[in-house]
Amino acid sequence: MATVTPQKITIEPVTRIEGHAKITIRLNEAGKVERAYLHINEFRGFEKFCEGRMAFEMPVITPRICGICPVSHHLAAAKACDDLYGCPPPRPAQLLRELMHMGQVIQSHGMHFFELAGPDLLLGFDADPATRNVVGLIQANPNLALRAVRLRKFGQEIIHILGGRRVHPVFAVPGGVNKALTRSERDQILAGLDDAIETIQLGLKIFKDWAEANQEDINRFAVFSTGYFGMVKPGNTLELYDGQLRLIDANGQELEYFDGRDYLNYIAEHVEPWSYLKFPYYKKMGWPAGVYRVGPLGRLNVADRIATPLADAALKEFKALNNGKPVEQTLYYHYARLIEALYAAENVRALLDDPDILSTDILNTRQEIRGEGVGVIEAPRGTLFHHYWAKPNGQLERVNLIVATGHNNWAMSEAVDSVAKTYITGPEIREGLLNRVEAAVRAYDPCLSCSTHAVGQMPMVIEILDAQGQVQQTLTRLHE
Amino acid sequence: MSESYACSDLPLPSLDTWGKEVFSSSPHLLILGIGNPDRQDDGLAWHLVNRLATDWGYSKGLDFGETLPVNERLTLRTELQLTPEMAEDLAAYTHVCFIDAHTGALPNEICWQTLQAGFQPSPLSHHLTPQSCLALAEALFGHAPSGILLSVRGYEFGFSRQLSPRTQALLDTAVHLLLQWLSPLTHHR
Repeated sequence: MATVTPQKITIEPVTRIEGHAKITIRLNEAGKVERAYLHINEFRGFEKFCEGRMAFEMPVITPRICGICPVSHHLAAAKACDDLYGCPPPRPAQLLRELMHMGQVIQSHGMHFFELAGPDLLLGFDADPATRNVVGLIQANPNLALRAVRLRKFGQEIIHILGGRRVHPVFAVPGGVNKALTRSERDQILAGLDDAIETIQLGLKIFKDWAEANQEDINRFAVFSTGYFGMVKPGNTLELYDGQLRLIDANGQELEYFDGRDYLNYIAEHVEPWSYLKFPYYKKMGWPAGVYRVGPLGRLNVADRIATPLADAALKEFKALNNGKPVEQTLYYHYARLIEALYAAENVRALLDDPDILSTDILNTRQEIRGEGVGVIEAPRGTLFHHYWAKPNGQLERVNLIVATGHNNWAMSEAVDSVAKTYITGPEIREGLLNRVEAAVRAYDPCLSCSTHAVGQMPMVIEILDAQGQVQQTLTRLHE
Repeated sequence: MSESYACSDLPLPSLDTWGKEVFSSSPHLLILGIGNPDRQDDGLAWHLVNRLATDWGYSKGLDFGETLPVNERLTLRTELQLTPEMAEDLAAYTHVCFIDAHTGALPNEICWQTLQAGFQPSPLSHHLTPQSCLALAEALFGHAPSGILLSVRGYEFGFSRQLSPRTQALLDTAVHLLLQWLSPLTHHR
């Protein structure tokens, strides 16, 4: 709903009880946008909730933060427990965890491109809002829509096969996993792989065609300089499950390369009075100079290569966009997301072809509790940290989580500000302009604590006032 | 598009006449509870579906994503939230009764509304509404079941598996009402 005060526009989809966001756009006397903010009212009570629990419960408890990316929390928690209990998993277990993670990346990136961003890109920002949605997309291109649904289902099926369920799997445990992969399960996954890769390649083609036709929009839509942050393997190879962390500056120069366990030496969090979610930044550069971006754009900017051939070729094209320097355009998050999805699908084949994938050596039962453990993983939206401190019996005394959406907090707000200033230039606000402001946030695919969703959502309204505080125009998004 | 929040007082609509495909032919009703039981009253539907299952002799209970066919006419399921791929599952039913908590935006503590398939945007989140899910089923698979949403007021949404006392009391009422409503489908299990 909208809250209106003189010279202020508030876009507030009152979604959940916790974890909703709103956008405020402040106008000046001349009717121009002075500053726009994204406020995230995310409640971080989950860390407190976990204190006193046994560490080994965390892979089961923490996925319940979210129904969209539970696998990321599941695996980050398991990795933190491996570290805390001193029980590194055997190689087959690492492969199986990575396989599940690839399923998560495929389903999450697939859903975002085809179902959330797709309507904006394929039907146009200015298309009638009644049809600019996934149903409109289905009507415009039913074959593409069915492929998109199959792609997400393919990713979910990998999770289901390994974890026994699509949401909140019980699979990774400290020291490994609790279920091996059978030959028939491997073949079942392989059977859907070619179709998944074709669909992602189709998505890439769609995006590239769109980008060619919309270059002007891309180059004026939330383009700004930041650092970039993500996980890599040796040779700065893109990595999503386990590797070192790399931070580069806006020119592509490496600032840091470090083990995830040491993140507190490099990352600090800033607090602003207008958002519940903290703003992580690179400690040595200070706030706000040290802001950086994570997620698909951040990861492709810190990576020099990808280990699979199709995605590596796509990365080369991506790198050429800015002559090898970091790509800054927010809308290229969508492009990067598809390249990562392609990598994830190709990596599924690489993992399934590995002779160790069918091994039953999946659990390290030896434990040497260290009292502290850090688990880091590249969730679809960006780098996810789980950090636990425990008593000698494994009972948690303290928990720290830094979630992907947090890392991008500054960037999302900056994107909203940039887009509002670029596109809202007077009192007449068209639907398409409002949608561009939303799209600036959507590009980052934030996850705003979707784990509660009781009925009670309100219409989203934007109202614009003139300098005297009079309502000039009202736009409403009907919702329930 | 969906009806607005014009909830009616209970009782729920007659099973003999509700929906495009009335229950006199070969109906298949899905009771789909949505919500996170780890977030207190948000998990109302999970508690409710499990109470129904228990009442019908299924003591094991349902976790997220689990489906329990009670008989050839009635199926129970709970989900943390709706997702696009559920559209395919929904298209296999003639009727779906969504159950969810509400936060006070609806006029009554317990109320229901019939749903029309129609996409509703969630601009800044991944939230999918029942109406949107029905619209996806219709657009992708050519059939949207007749939908109804039963909503029960939630009051507290902390990190707990225990319902607030007020919602717990409403749960008891809602279970009783649903058992009565569904009795024609469960008589000859």
